[in-house]
Amino acid sequence: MISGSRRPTVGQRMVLYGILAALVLLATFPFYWMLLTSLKTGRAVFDTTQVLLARNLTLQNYMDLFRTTGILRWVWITAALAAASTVIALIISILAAYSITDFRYRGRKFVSFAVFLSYVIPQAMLFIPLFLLLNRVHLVNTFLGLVLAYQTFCVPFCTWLLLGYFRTLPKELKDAALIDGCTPLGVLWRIILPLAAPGIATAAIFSFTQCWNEFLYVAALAQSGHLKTLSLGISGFLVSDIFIWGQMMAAAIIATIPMLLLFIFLQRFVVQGLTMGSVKG
Amino acid sequence: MGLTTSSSPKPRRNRWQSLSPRSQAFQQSGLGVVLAIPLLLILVGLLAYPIFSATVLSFQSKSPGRPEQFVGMANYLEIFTKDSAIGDVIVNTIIYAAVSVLLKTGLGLVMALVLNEAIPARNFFRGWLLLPWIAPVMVTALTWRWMFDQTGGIVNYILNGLGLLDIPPAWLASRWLARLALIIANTWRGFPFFGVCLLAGLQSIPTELYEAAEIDGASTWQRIRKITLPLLEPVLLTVIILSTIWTFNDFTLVWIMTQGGPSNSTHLFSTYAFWEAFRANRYGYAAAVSLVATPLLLIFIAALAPRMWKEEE
Repeated sequence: MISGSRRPTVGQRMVLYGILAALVLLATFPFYWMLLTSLKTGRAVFDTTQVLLARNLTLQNYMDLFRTTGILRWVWITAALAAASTVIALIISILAAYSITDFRYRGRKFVSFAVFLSYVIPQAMLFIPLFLLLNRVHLVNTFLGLVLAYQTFCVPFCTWLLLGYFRTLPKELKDAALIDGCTPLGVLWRIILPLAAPGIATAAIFSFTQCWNEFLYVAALAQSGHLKTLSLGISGFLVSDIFIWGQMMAAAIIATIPMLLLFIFLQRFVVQGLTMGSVKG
Repeated sequence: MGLTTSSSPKPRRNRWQSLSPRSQAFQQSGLGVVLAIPLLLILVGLLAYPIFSATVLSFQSKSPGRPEQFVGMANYLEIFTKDSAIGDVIVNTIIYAAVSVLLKTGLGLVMALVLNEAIPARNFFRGWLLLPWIAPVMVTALTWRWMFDQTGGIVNYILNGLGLLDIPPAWLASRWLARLALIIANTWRGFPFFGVCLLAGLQSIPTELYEAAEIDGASTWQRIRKITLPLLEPVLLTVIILSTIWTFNDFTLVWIMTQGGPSNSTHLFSTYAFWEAFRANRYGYAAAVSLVATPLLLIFIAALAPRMWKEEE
């Protein structure tokens, strides 16, 4: 700690708490503004006499949203897509991370380097060829097509994260299990998976979050619009001539709440994953 | 392998010698390759092949429903000689990435330094300050677009209330204000990532160093400059390079807030490529646009590799 072992002076403390308060305000204000707008309707949204506080808060925007758009369907599609992509990515990356950490074969180093490389390859370089590839096999605008596309970022970072985790597991335990007659897959199932559970949870949360937030791939690969995720559905508001900010902010709140809940209950894993350099910022 | 552990190299030893013959036989069995097959399929089919085909495509002319035609360097020549938007794309991408990363580093460093002090409910505040990073990017983009709205937006309301302006500016309709707005939104979203990573880095610095410096009479600023920054450097550089790659290749914020406008001034390579592909229907040209900055990306990856990738023992 920079203030050292001395107790900080009152002045130092005030500076410290002042900066902290400013940061908290900065981080929180846009959410407050989002929530407040979502509770205003009609002219109140633009009324300069009630900008930071509002009279007559109402849930009208949320009701209109449920009534006039398919937002519940968007939520369902987004969740199903994120869940399916995450489960598949986890299976692939658990097997791969086990293979790279516990087996020896030619090209193993290259595979682990390829995982690192694919982890830093941006989606911006992939969406055009992926579109043409999926178009050729008639998977554009399909659930399966999006799940496949999502593997391009889920698999590399899940494998990347699990590699770091699997390496820390004690090899004596695996060795003992083998001597006791455990099969290689038994070692994975009985020893590695239970020990690596926190790492797997971290990978799962990040994979799910990334899929939930994804926009570039759905915009490119599900353009026809009948397979709308939350991102795609919300971006559709911007096509019309009039922006109904109250409803748009209500949709923004609905898209944020699941992420917020996930974060509140699983914060420990999130922070761990972040510092392992596994996510975009 | 993580950002925070990469600074402390472990002594190398041969982990295989200590294992039983049974384990060694198992480690050398073909099962390892079999387990890696699904990963290899993804790496080859969905990453290597698309990048290869994008490269081929960038030398072709292709639009929907038509067979591709080989055109040699024509797309790249057009980018650098005829395309009137590309100058703006290059300038904007560089400004956007450089300034955003700089601001995120500064703000993240402040966040980490504050959270590293003995304050009550530290973990609570760490979680709270992560909120901007938790919200889906789409939500961030939409909310900031609304905050920068000319008539109803909070930014103009506050600036007006402070008496700073007479006529409320149309932020997203002016070249430089739109760029500034995007940088602010990106910084807001990304600084917590820096904060949390740098905090983890700070926490690995032994407190004895600060105590010794204190005994020697070093000031707060001297302690930051001589102890904190040098010891934080490995983590700091890794996070900066990683974030530069991501910011450089951002898409959603720009696409939702300005769609590259006004008059192409806020396009990134990604949004411009998207525009060329799906609005102008020129896939070959779009592929060339998306690949033009690859040499720069490779430099960043080369700088990142020794920091993040450790050879398998």
